[in-house]
Amino acid sequence: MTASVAEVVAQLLHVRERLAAAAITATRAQADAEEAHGRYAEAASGSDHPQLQQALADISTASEKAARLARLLTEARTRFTAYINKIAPGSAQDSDVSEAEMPSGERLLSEAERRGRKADMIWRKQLQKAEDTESTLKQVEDGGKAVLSYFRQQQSPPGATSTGTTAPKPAPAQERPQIDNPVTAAIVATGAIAVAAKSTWDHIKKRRERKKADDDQA
Amino acid sequence: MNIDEVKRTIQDGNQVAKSGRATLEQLDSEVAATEAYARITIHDSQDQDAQAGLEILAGFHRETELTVRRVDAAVDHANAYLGTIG
Repeated sequence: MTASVAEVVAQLLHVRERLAAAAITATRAQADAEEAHGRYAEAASGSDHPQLQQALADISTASEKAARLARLLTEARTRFTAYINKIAPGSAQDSDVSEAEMPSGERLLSEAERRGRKADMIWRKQLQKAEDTESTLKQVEDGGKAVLSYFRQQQSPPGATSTGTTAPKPAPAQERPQIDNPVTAAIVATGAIAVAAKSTWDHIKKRRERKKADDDQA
Repeated sequence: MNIDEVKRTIQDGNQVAKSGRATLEQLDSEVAATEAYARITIHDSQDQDAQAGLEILAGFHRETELTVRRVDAAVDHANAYLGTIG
């Protein structure tokens, strides 16, 4: 193989990689369209309003089209794979489609972004609901505190709470729970969010009370 | 579900749809750059597979555009509905 053929093959392999990554991006767009469809459908439940039905039909078509985009990219990739193998037989395998060529870090990041957005949406919904039910939020807060206290106990050095006759083992003082474990960190964060939500609620309540007082005076 | 929740759910749908739209725009430019790169590399080869691959990429912008339009139409209709329910 001459240097120039090697170069061409390397460039075409790069094209393949980019097409594989692009197919994943198209799939992400499709997933967004599907999720949007889910939201519209949730809202449209029990209604056959033409505008809402049209929105559903449009987003459904968009989802199908995005899926077609992903297929087109895979088809183009297959064509280039065949071409590469004509130039230099055995240079490219067609079996290792999209997933294998997608940089895993990038994929994980995009999935994390998606999850983050979804969590944000769900959280926002919960906050809105909680506006009308302070007690519910209070329970969440208490739940969060209970979780925190549980982890404080779990993370305390074994000797710290011991009442036995054996001398407690020396251990570093720990005022806060260790959160090096990702699961622990997530649960502790949930507790912190609950406490923050309570503060938000208190703030909203105070504001409403102030407004009410102003209105009454006026 | 009260009317505010209906509105919020539709707005959430719009938000996700717009995010999908942004992804499509990004995809469009990614593929355009890849097509240019592939075209330079393949140059004037008349190989059937190479040409078929380039042809797909050449028509890709149009396909993406049509997809974006559908997303826009969905959001427009959803917004029209939001306007109706006040």
